[in-house]
Amino acid sequence: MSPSSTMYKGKTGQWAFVLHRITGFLVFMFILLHIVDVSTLNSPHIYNSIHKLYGNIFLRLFEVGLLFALLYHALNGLRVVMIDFFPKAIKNEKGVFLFMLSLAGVMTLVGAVYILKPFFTGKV
Amino acid sequence: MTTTIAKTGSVDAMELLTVHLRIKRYNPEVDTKPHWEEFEVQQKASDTVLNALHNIKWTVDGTLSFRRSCAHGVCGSDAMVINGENKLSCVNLISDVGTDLVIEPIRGLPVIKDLIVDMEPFFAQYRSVIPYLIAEDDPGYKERYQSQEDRARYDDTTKCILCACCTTSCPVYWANGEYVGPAAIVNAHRFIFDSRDQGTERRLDILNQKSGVWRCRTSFNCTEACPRGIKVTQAIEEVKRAILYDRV
Repeated sequence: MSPSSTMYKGKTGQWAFVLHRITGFLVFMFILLHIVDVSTLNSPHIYNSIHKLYGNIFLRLFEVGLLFALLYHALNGLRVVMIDFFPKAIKNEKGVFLFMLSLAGVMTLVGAVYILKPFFTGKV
Repeated sequence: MTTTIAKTGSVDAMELLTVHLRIKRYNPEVDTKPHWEEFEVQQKASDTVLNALHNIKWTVDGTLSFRRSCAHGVCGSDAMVINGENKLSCVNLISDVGTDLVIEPIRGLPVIKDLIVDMEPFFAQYRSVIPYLIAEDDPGYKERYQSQEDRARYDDTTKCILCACCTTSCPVYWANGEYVGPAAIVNAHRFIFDSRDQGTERRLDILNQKSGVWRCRTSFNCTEACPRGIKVTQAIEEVKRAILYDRV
């Protein structure tokens, strides 16, 4: 049976836009979380116990995801700025998108090593 | 330039194929919400999707409703979502789009019946950008001359046939019908960059508002969807820069 609603088959530009929205929302949610944990700074023991939580593997993986969201959002933002200001960038927007996505991916992998390594070596 | 049509492959143009269509249907008199109906028709590989729809309407189910007028990609009546992309049914051949078709009305505009949508919001947005030549001064007993370079400046955006493929492919427009949409901006661009026109300031003011060009998030769906091959996103960006730098 046919689905009641179908997906519009846009090309890379549509997915660049969707991913930009999603990563933007995630980064915003993280900032809320960040404000909450920084606001506990007045009581150091609460602050420290919260920050111990960040050492577990799930929150470290979350941070890797956050790093990707931040990098993608920043780099794709630059792509949109390029499209807005440089008439030539628009002719190769797909290439620029794939470059920015790959760059975000590579930088996330590098960052992941630094974020995850302490968990495995035990040197938190 | 003619309406763009993908090149036909090596398929035998006269070969009869069984075309399977799933069409999103809605009859406001009996349905509370749209539903899908399936049809199977025999078509030549060189037939258009519109031929298949005609075949259904004329031989299988006369209640199937859709718009079409010239059937040759000029009037812009038959934009619809074919296999997930906005296309004109009259210029897409079965040999290009395949024999398994999912057809829906274009998105972002209210459905009146089956594949027919209410185009009035779209045309109202088109009218809002003052899409005609404004030239108050008297040119005297001669024409309003224009160099070939000046004419070429807005050539791309003269090709619009107001089919709404671009506007109804825009994710921003689906979410916010207040946005004037790509088609209106394309038609504003056609006059903004016309050296004979004197209404540029008025149009840029209109497009500088909340519902204007700044709603564009460069998803490029409009450029991909345009059956006339207009570089829609590029035109929108040119208008954005004209507003930003206050020059055309």
